[in-house]
Formats: sequence, C-alpha cells, structure tokens
Amino acid sequence: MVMPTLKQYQRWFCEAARQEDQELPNSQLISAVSAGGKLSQTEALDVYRTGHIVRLTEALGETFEAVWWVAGDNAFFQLAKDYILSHPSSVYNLSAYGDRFPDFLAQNNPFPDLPFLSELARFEWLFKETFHVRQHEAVSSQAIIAMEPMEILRFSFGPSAHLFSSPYTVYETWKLRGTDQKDGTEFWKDQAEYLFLYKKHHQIFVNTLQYSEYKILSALLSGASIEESVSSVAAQCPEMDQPRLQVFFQLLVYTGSIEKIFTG
Amino acid sequence: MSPKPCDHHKETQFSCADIGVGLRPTHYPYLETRPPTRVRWFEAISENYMDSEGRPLAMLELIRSDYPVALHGVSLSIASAEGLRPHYLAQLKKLTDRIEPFLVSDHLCWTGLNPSNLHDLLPIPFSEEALQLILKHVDQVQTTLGRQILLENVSTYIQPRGSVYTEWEFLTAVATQSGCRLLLDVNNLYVNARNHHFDPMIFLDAIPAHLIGQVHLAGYTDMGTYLFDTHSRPVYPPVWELFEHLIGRIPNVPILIEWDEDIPDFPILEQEALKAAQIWETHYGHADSEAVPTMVL
Ligand SMILES: [Fe+2]
Repeated sequence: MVMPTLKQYQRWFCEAARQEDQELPNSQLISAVSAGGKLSQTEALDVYRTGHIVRLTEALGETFEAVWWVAGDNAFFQLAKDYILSHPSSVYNLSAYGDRFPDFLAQNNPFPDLPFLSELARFEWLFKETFHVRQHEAVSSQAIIAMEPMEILRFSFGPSAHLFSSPYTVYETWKLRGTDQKDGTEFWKDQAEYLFLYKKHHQIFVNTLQYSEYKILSALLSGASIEESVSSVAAQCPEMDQPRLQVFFQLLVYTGSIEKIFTG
Repeated sequence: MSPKPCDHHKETQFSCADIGVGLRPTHYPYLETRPPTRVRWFEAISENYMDSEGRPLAMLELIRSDYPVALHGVSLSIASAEGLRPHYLAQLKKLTDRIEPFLVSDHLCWTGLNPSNLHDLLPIPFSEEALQLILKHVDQVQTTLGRQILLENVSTYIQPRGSVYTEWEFLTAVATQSGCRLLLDVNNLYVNARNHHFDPMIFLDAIPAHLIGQVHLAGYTDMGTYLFDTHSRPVYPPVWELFEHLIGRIPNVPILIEWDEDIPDFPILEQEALKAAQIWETHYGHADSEAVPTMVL
C-alpha cells in the first residue's frame, strides 16, 4: 500500500471531519489509519468528526446564548450543525468563530414567527466583540465643559463605543435569556430599537436611544462636530429642542465613552 | 514587602511540590478576591488572551502580578503540512512579551488545514516526513519567540499508518533534534497506551528526564470501547501510579492538574492538585505545607 503524504492525509482527514452523519469517510483515509481501542476505523474517525461539531456548537452557544434560548436546544443544535458544516472555521481562537452566523440565520431561520432571530444574533456578536475590546481612559467632563465654544467640538470615542439599530426589540429579548419568561409573555416586539454600547470600568453598558439621539450620535461617531451633528437631524427631528439636546449631551459625557476631544 | 514570584521567575526552581492549575474563566470571580492558595503557578490557554484586550487579559495580568504563569497553546498546529500562520506567531510573540511566562508550550499535533481549523489536537504519523517538518517549524517558532518552547504528547483515537518511530522515539527525536523540551502529559500517555495497546511504562522510561520540562495530569473518560481524553474527572489511580514512577526521575519539574469540563470549585481543584504534592513529598520529604497568601501589591 502506498502511504499518502502528510498533506494528503491531513486533507482527507479534514474532509472526513466535515461530513454529514450518514456519509462514510474516503476509503483511502480509512485504509491509511488504524483505530484505537476496540473501535473500527470508521468509528474512530467519527470520534473526531463528532468532537468537531460539539466544540464549535459550544463556541456558538457561548456567543449566541439568547438565540439558543429563543430557538430551544433541538433547533439551535441543528442550526449550529448546519452552519458548522457550511462555514468551516478559519480562526485559531474558538470564541472568534461565528461571525457569519447572524447572516446565516437571516437566510435559514426555521421560525417564521420569530423574524428577529438574525438581529438578535447580530446584537450578541457585537456584545461579544465589545467584551474583548480594551477599556479606554475617558476624557473628564470638566475637560469637555472647559472647551469653548462647545459647538465646534468633535469627539473621538473609545473603541468599545458602538451603535446598533434593529427593526425589532432584541435588547429586551436578550435581557430575558435564561429566564423562564419565553412562554406566555411577549418577549419581543416588532418595533425599531436604537442602542448605544460602550465600556466603562471594564463593564459593558447598553443604552436605549431615541431615533433622533441615534442620528446625532452616529454623526458624532463619524467625526462630525456637535453643531454639524445637531443640524444634520434638525429637519427630521424637530423635537430635539435646546433643553433636550442639553440633557442628551450631559448623559453622553456621563457615559465616559469619549476618549478624546478636538476643536475645529 | 516580600518579593513577588514574578520578580525572579527566571531563577525560580520548581519542584514537583510546586503545583499549578489551569486558569479558567469559571474561577475568575474567586481568584479576583486573591485568596490564599497552595497553588504556586497558573497555566493560561494562549489563544484566550492573544486577541483580547478585555476582562480575560486583565485577569491574566492580575494573576501574573502574583504568580508565575505558563502559556499553553492549542492552535499552533506545529505539524500542519501547510506551514505555520505568521499572524498567529506574531500574536503569540506579543502575548509572551507582555506576560513574560516562565514556559510557553503547545501540542505535538496539527489542528486543521485552511480553510478548516478543526480546533482539535489531531494525530500525526510518526514518520520521517513529519519529523523533518516539525523540526523546521519548531525552529521557526523558537526563532520568532526568541525562546525555547515545550511540546506536549496528545491523546489519540486513530493512528495514521506509515510510522517508522514509536511515539516515545518520535517525541525524543523532536526534542533532541530541535532543542525544544517536552510537556509530558501522563494522562495522555496512559490513554494512548490503552487505546493503542502498549505498555505505558516503556513509554515513560524511554523519555530522557532532561527533556521533560513540565508534566500534565488529568482525568479521562472510559467510553467502553476506548478511553477519551475529556479533562472532566479527577486523575485516575493508574495515572497517579505512572506519575509516582516518573517523579523518581524528575524532582524539579512543574506539575499541572488540567480540568476543562464540569470544572469544580477552585478549592476542590486545589485539593486534587495537592495530591500530586503529597506524592512528591513521599519521595523527597516534606515541602512547605503552609498556604501561601497572595502577595499584596
Ligand atoms: Fe495536557
């Protein structure tokens, strides 16, 4: 028997590890290995195939805990398996696996009555990413107040500052994950949601915003000055009058999400 | 103020009574309180900290300020026929520069091929082709990191045909010819002995003592038709027996208890780790039995 090269053996092994349950591994691979214990070669290769699915399912379950909670064990495990078989991992860190799971759910949602599943996954992925971002040093509120004139100020935010918008109330659903409030209560709404995520004292905070606040903040995050940000929403959001703007900016400074300030 | 272990870790002489355990997120809240413990060092999974600037890294740095730390990787894929990933090596180098571990280790295995990382410690044939490839890769890693690494023997459920060495001959050849050392996992050794039908004592006695830089102990699961390396149980008696036999030859090697599934509370893990210290003491006399309070910064 001619032995395969190391690369050929590794290729065959990877293909076998990513096969469906009922498929048999390549016969050349089977004859290129001897089995451990009292296992047949196919059974022994299956230990690796099953282990691969289990490990990546665990990784997805850890990141997409709320999707798992909403979908239930059986549906989540099936979704995870379908995703794993169609999306090989190219990352070396298991917790970085699953970046395309939200898009996958948008295409493959088995629950027509739960249309928010993909949006919920998108939120969970952002939350996980935020967890791994460094905690910045916030600029003090005194430093901001001391700047004159305020209108021309621009902000640079800490790396954890992110906006999130969804047509569904996914944050409310996410907060309920792991509870028994899935049955009988309305745990999601077909209603737009605008969120601001940031880190303070190494903890992640999620603030719910009004649409107008979301628009101003997204202008500020893209580098616009206070004046430019406010005027960009003035026509669409006449309710953002001076007192409300003042409260909004006070709260923004309080979040500690601003890392640097600039003028001009 | 007492010197912190990290201040002089390069000079620290470990004995087998200096027990380490794996740093796991489950224990972060407990360890954050900096409790007194007889655990003398921690082993952290490199990949969990290589791309994170969040709480895990802050926790690792807190632990590092009180204890020596070993970095133990699971994705180096030293036997990958596709070569090593430069980005991975660069990130590992960054982490080792930051943490200054007293040991850097990974496994003698491969973990997948592009685009499919299987996140598993996969078996290799003990062939001349594999040996030459691994020697080249170890050289690349040690040059990049500017330090020696340790490679660990892994548990396997198949054995690729085409081996011209036994596993112990292969490990010895890799370490002798590359200048790396070995992380000898006694549990993996026992699992393989049972799965692949050889005498574990022959393996154990064949590895030259000076090549062993660290020892792992863990618990397997008996699946009926094979032993499965699950790290979900206490260490089994036959593995303790092998360990007892081994430490007669290696009095000054750091020992680590691995527990990755169904992880118990830290004090229970610590108790399991202390069993290894007690075995050491029966050979070498009484070690310091006082709980070591965490150093105050
Ligand atoms: Fe190990």
